[in-house]
Amino acid sequence: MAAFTWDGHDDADWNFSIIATNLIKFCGAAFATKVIVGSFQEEMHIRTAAGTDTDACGAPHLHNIMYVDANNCDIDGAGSEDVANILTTECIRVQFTHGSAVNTENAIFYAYDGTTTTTPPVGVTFHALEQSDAAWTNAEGSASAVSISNQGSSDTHNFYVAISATPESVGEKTSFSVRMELDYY
Amino acid sequence: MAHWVVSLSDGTSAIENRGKFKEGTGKPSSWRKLLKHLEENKLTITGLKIVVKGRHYHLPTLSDDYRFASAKPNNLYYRRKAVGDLMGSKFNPAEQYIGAIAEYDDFIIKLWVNEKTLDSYIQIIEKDD
Repeated sequence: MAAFTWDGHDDADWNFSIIATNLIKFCGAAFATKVIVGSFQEEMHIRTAAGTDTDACGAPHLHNIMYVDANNCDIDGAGSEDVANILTTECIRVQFTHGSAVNTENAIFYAYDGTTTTTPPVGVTFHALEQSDAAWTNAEGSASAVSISNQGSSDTHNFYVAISATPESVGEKTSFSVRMELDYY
Repeated sequence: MAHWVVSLSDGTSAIENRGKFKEGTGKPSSWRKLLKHLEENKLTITGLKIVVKGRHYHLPTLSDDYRFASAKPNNLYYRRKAVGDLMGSKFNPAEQYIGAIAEYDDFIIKLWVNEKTLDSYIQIIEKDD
């Protein structure tokens, strides 16, 4: 049976599980600080279920890769650098598993409004890349997705992506989801 | 369980996850076992259908006697499509499709069936020059 899991690295292993009750939160300079309109997230955390909204990742927190410009990022507040420097352990790992060994192809990664895959997220500017890409992609809607590399035969496939977002207006953004699609055989 | 069924050039059939094409942990997928079988026995695929919850979805075939005559594709193959969401209400795994694909000189036809809802979609994709 095929399944996706999403994880973050804590400098020891992929110990931050991103699940329905532990989702990513884009933050300002701290967990409780909101991202300023027009600025990208300065930190990313794992937050517990809606309503409680507590920081679940603990120190060291989930790595943050912030969009600076088309070819540069800021990793954990260390200053601007080339996106080519991003390490896999600084990314979000999307792991695809299958009961037998399969090849993957035509994988794409993008943000959308949570309902219609071709519709960009509402009120959010979103950039993403696959680790080793030379530039960010303004990956809003399936037609603008990041193209993810094909992988050979295995029952476990790891894809490493960086994500960065900025609100276009004040207020919670509820029409915002991130999606991975792939073909396998 | 959704699965593919292929007709082969020696008159036999192969079914996903059955007989010599049965899957196992860490072993090649059924389709990759089929590809190996084709190569070892110098066979080709002449027909392909997918079966989901008892419904059969057919592509044009390479056979002459098919009741729904059609332009013959150059190649027939199968894929599955998996979709997962990271944020939002539709957390992983959101959707799973099984697909049958017919390749022609200038275009590719992809027939996808949602394994849960049975909704089906046809893509016609022009090939790059």
